[in-house]
Amino acid sequence: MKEKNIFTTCLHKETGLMHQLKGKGCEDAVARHVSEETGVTAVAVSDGAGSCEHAAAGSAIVSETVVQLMAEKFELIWKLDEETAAEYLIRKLCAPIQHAAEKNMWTPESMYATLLCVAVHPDHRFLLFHIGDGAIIGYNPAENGKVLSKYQHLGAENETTFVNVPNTTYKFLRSTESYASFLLMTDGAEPYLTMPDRVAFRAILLQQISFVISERELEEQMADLLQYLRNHCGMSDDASFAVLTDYRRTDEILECMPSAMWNDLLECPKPVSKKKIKEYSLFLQLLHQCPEGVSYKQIGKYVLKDKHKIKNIRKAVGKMFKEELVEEVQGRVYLK
Amino acid sequence: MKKIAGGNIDKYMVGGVNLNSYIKGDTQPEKVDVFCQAGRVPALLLVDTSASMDDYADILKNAVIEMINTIANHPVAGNKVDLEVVTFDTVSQINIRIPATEIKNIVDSNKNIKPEYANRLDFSCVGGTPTGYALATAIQDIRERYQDLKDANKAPQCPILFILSDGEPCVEPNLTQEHDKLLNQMKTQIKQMVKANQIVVVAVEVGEICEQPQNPAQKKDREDMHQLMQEITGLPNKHHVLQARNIDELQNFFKFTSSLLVSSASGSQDTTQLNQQDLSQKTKPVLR
Repeated sequence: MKEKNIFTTCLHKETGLMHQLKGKGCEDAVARHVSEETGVTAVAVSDGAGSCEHAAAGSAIVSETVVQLMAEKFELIWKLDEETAAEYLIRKLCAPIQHAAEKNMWTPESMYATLLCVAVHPDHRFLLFHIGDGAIIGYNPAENGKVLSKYQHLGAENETTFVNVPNTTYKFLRSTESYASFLLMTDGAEPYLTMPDRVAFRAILLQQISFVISERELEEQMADLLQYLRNHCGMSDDASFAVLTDYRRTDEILECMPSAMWNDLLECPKPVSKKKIKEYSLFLQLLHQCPEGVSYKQIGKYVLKDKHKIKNIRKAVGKMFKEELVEEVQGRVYLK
Repeated sequence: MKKIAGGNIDKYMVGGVNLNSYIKGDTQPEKVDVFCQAGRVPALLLVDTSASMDDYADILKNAVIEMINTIANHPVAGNKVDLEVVTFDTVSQINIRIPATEIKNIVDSNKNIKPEYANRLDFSCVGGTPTGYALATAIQDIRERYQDLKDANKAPQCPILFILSDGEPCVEPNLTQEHDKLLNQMKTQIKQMVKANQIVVVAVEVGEICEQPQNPAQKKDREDMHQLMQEITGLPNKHHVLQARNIDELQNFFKFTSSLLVSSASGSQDTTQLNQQDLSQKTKPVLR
């Protein structure tokens, strides 16, 4: 198994109602990068300043650049002191903004964008870098969701800072604390899903289901959550999410889920037994570990220790196929 | 797949409150739903349909319908304003025309009020003005609605009660004593609730009562009425007493009400702040 497959990621962004009414596109940008060499995986979201003409270009450059840097230069950044690391990252981020501005005859100020980025090493170390509004949440079964970084508005709600603002404030965090998943969000959804010391249940749910469902389905769930925030909470701004999940925690997370959650995931009206939940958890973890798919024999060996016949194995995990959480292609089973 | 993070999450909280039983085990942290900056807005419109309001019957119906359609057409407010419409007079008594419900439930797919609800707004104005009984019903209803929304984890904002009336309370002689006692109780209760930010009351004086009195007797009656309307708002001033001298001003009141409910539901106005605001100055020159 390659280390790079330890993490799964999912990105989603949507244009806000106010931008739609003004005929503007989405000025948020999302990005991810996996270092082939080390398996470090980075995700980022960025929000282009609404008042800036080329904000969308700014946020795209910022997000794409930072994930490359944080994933590929993880060890270098890890060793730097906080101030030097932040200066290094900002300098590296401002350079392509300056270049794009000069090339297009824009001003760098017309490309103002915020930045939220997390990069996680397979050995559980992680780096976090955050400039401007938005929030980053870490999730662990033991402590639920924790706000790792959130911009504190000292003035008006719409006042913030951006990557290429001179002497910008920032948050740089280097930690060995292991999180099962990270959720990054721009300021569109942030006020509805985080408080300074608390995380909304819906944000936790989003992270939990990231261990079970495919990237496509998780994106749909993100879209559903944004729709809820628009319809019930009055959210009108652009909004984006990035989730980074450590599959090694799959069985730990899934065993915490109540039967009501399993009932919905499996469209099953009856309560799901603890034994069954344990089996499903191990099954999904095995599939996360093996993106190249697993054979029924392997499922019998590692998940269903008392079953050897393919017919019985199929029956034991049949619900997962029925609800399209997993699929079978030429005798091998894959996460859908 | 069912909506999970964006769907009904109550079922994932064992017993409706135990978040951690879902997350990890048996401890019980507080229940945390999405932190809506703007929660539900429970509102009750209490309309005097005594005989003297007859001149306004048609305009009242059209104005209420227009208000409902306006709110329903707002992308956020349509889902967040809970409206109840109640009329009161001594003939049909206290009549709940539209029971407390989300606006979206009483409009069709085109966001226009459904005919069955529009028909319930055919006001026939007859009889006297049992203001005390009406207030007692309204306060009880709106409190219950608030509690229901709270229990359903829908983050209700401070409820708003709008009362429109054109004259002093008047009931059958044998009920006067009981009615006046109830009215005084309600005034005290509203004052306490307003002080605790548990309700916002906006009183609208309709018609002649807004005009200058022509003689001492009329002056006394109108001063009493102005005093009553102020007391009903629970405030020590006239900041929540509005006046609609004619049909245009009445229509403007409903436009103001739509705007207030929409801004509250969409988060740009918090109803708990309303008791500190002078609403009487908001809609000049139409409203006092």
